[in-house]
Amino acid sequence: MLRFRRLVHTAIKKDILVVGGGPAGLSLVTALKNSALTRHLDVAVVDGQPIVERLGNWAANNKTTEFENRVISVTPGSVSFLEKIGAWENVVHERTLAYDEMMIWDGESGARIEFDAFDSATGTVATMIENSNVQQALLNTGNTRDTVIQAQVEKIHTVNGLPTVKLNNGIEIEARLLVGADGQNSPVRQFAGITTEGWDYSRHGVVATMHLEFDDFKQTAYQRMLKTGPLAFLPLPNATATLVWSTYPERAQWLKQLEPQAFTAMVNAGVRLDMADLDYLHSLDPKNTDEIIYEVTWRLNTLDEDDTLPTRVESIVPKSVASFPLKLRQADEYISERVALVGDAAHATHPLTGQGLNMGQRDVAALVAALELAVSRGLDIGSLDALEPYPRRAYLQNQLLLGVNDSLYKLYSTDCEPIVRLRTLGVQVLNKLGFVKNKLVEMAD
Amino acid sequence: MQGNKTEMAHFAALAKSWWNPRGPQRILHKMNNMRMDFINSTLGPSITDPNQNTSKLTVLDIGCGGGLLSESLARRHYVQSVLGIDVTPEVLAVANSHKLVDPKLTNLKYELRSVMDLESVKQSAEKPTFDIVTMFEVLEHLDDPKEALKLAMSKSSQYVFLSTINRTLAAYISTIALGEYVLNIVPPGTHTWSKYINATELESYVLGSGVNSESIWDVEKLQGCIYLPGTGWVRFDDQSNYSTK
Repeated sequence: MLRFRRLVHTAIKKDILVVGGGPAGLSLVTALKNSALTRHLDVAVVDGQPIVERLGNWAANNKTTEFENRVISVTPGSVSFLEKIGAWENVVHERTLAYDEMMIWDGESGARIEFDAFDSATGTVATMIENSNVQQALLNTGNTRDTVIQAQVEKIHTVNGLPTVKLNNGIEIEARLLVGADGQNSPVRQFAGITTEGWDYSRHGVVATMHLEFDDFKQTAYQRMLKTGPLAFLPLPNATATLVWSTYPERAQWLKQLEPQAFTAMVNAGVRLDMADLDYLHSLDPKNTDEIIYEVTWRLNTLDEDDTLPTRVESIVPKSVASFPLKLRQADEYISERVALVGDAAHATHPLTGQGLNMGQRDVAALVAALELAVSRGLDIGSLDALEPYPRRAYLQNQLLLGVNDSLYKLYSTDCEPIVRLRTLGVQVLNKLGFVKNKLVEMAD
Repeated sequence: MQGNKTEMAHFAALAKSWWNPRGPQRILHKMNNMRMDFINSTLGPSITDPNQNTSKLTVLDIGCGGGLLSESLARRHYVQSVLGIDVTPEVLAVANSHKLVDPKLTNLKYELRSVMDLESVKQSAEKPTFDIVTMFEVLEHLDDPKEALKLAMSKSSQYVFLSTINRTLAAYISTIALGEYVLNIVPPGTHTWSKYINATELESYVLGSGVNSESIWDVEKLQGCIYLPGTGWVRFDDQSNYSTK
């Protein structure tokens, strides 16, 4: 007797399959479900992490826990987009902080520029929010949570002309439009054969959550431009701040080896001491905590207290120290037939101006606008006709921001005397020109 | 069947690349977007708003070609069904095979048929006419456009959407001289100058007694457009795109 196995292709059919349940992917699903034109589309999002399990009750479970180290700066433009799609009201607002001023100063010359949002229309420069807080807000909006499938992507291939994703739970999903919201190493981008341009900065970003000596009455974000890269001090509620310190990879490794007390001392040093002192401190043995604290403390004690600088750090949250390599990347295309890329899958930037997440939100807004137009025109949502308006809106704007970020970064990553003098003069002049500063803030928005 | 033989041979040659938005028919794809925008805005939000619960409309698409407009209309929530007709078997074959790319297009049918042979075409046994008849870029390819228009209007119970090319110097330069010979945007032979119809002529056809004997038709909206290389389709009021009610 012969038995035949049916070799029928039995993939689940979806109109749109999003790979990656980070802020970009979840915003996309939430926005599509919130739009009258696109809500009828059958949408799913795949993520390898148990995001629903971890974040579904985050709001109730995390009232008093420490702030996580993945904190992002959300511009007013992104906030209004999140409001529009109904997610902002689900944010745990006690755990966010809107700052209305950004102070940037030159680590070599001390020249300053202050971006004050009060002379701009928006009222705030940006809002600091934990990555998980954004994700949980999106998961709890509409029926976004029901669209999440927890599984690893095993393979992406084309079946019957449609992108088909094979998951590690045995399920295959075939999509009319496959969206890569799957990060810098985007498997979706690789499937589509889309190449990227860019370079590594040979810098790492060191992040940590910090407790300050007292609550700063000003709501200000600070960035000190050091030749090793910017050191950013971003405010959170309850005398807490988050650190993003861009520096040489070997210095990042050195910082990560420090005991919490020594790390705390080094952050205070990084904000206040000059480069020669910092170079010396980095030459010490990272395990010799007492020596590092001693060398930092007496140096800081010789300085007059400057209350325009951020409040000193009292301690850091254990295990909140982490680092990641900094790179600039732009995909050569954001779309191909039946594929679209959003967020870090499409571009990566230096965290200097905190634009990473906001660029992703703008991608999502532009892609949703393109899909709404496509539905109103009765187009096949995966076709190039449908997708073409998306990169037209998003690509150049991102290219411009990546360029501005990169130039700012390069301008400040040198201690070459003539350039320091020039940039100091430039910043002093710029600081007096409210109009130009407002333009910069608006562009970042 | 009464299609013009030269025209039919010409469209047969275009069939292969019909659905490639980055191929020779790119302008047609862009034009289709504009047609849909024009239809949506003419019908208005009471019909096109997805939150409105209005009864669905039936469509007859005359000169459907490879099915760009037919598919677009069939996907809209306010459309019940679409019947596309064309006289060129090769492009209808393209339309039929492309339809299969989207399994949801079960409300779309194609028929090999001329506009001059509409007599027996019925939406259903009970209802002989369609809510919407579309006839985009068809009249300028016909030997007797006036009669075709009359037949098309006889098949519509609500709207006729149509467009054609103005017989003006600007149209000659853009569609034939530049479009076919200088820039090669569309293949030579696509257009025949003597068949172009002016907006005023079209308006008088529609409103004239030969077609509109009971004065039930009116011109709802009239819009012109021109393709500017590097910019795309640009719309302006009062020229060649047409809808009647």
